[in-house]
Formats: sequence, C-alpha cells, structure tokens
Amino acid sequence: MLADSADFADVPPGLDWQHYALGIAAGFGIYSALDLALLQFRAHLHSVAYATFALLGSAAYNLAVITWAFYFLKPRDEKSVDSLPSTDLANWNDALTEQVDKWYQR
Amino acid sequence: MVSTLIILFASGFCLLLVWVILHSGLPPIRSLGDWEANKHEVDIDAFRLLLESAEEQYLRRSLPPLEFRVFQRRRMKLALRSLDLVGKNALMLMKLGQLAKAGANPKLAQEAEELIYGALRLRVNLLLVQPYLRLKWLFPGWTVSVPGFALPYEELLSYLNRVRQQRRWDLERILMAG
Repeated sequence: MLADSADFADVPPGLDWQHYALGIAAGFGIYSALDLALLQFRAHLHSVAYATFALLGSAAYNLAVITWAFYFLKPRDEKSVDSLPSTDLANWNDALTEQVDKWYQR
Repeated sequence: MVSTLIILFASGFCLLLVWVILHSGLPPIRSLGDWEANKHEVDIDAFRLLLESAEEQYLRRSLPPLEFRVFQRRRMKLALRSLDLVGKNALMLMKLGQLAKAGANPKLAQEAEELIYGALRLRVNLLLVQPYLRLKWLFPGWTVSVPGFALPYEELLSYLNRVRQQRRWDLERILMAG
C-alpha cells in the first residue's frame, strides 16, 4: 500500500505535455469524443450504412492507439542529471512553517 | 440530444481544465543548466520582514488607518509574489529531482529523493500560507487565527514523511545490493 502511494508521489503537481499519464488520457479522450460524435450522427443520418459507422468507430480507436504509440515511442530529449544544486528549500520550509504555526490554530 | 450537449459541454470544460493545469508558465527543465538559467532569486529575510508581526504593529501605530491599509496591501502583494516565485522554483526542482532519479547513480537518486521531498513539503506549506495572505490582502487589519486546517496538514506531512522513509529504505537496499 505504502509502495503504491510512493509511486503516486512520483507524479509532480506540475504536469507537462510529455507526461505519459497525459498521453494515455488523451488517447481515451479522443476515442470517447469521436465515438460519442459517431453515436449522435448514427441516430440522425439514416442514409449512411451501419457498416460505415462501424468502420469509423474502428478508425477512432486506431487514432487513440496512434496517440498512445506517439507518446510512448517518441524519443525523449531529457538528459540525465549528474549532480543536484544546493537549495534553500529547508529555510523556506522553516519560514513558512513558522507562519502556519502562527496563523492556524492547532 | 440534450444529453449529448451536456456531455460535449462537460468535455469542453475538462479540456479547459487540462489546459489550465498544463499551462503552468514554467520553462522546460531538462538539465542542471536549465535550472540555473531559470531559477528565481528570492530573499528569504525580506520575506520574513514582510510578515513580521512587530513590523505590522509598528506600522499600525505610526500610520493613519487608510494609509496603513494601503501599505499593508502592498506588503502582502509582495509576499504573495515572493511565494509565487518560490513555488515555481519548487516545481522546477521537483522536475530536476525526477531527472536525477532516472539516472543510474543510487546515491544521487537518494539526494534527489530528499530534494523532491523538500519541494513537495514546500508546496504543501504554500497551499496554507497563500490563502491566508490573500485574506490579509483583502482585510489588512486581520489578526485572527484560522481554525480547521491543522489535522489534514499534519496528516499530509506525516504521509510525506512515511513515503520518504520508505523510499530511503528502498534506496539503501539497492545500495547494499550493488
């Protein structure tokens, strides 16, 4: 349980466009949006054959797969970091904790 | 048809939310050089002075009420701006820590873990300090303590500590094995 939580802590609050989680969500989002649109068209466009909608549905899923493939196969331009900078995070944490202790009743 | 419209509206709202989350305005951090080039220098002593109670009391005594409010709002605005920059620094450091963890060096990974923990803790503290400062900006004479946030805050910090401890054990195990 704790290990799972630790994995969750890997995800930073500031996501970027390159994050895998976003790619997975984008794939599902694209597929769902297109599927919904097709469902709506199928209810109103009776002249178009059912087989066409089935094919378009498959194409929507393939588009999602292409999105996922793009996210996972695209080479990352991140270099590994050899050293870390010294920071004043501890001082800032102390300063902010002082204020929190002062302002918020415990 | 109505349900479809509702779903489309919800989808649009979700897309907007994604854009807001992703549009942090942060520069991409891919190396130590990127951090050095983009970090914000914020003076911690100046920040402490802006929130010093004695200083506030002195201003309250020395200035007419209207002037005090104007002056106090300026101080809170400056403090909020400082925290905004510090928050951005913390996000950049978290990214840098993740890059360091991805490397093959377990010792560096341990340092990165500490860095990420510190940055995460800072972000938690900011979540509490920033709303209070906004309240102080709205009501410059505000001196009352705010109740209610203590328990989740403590829980969150102890959760972060537990995660850090678990990570430290894992990394120590890797170091011992290697």
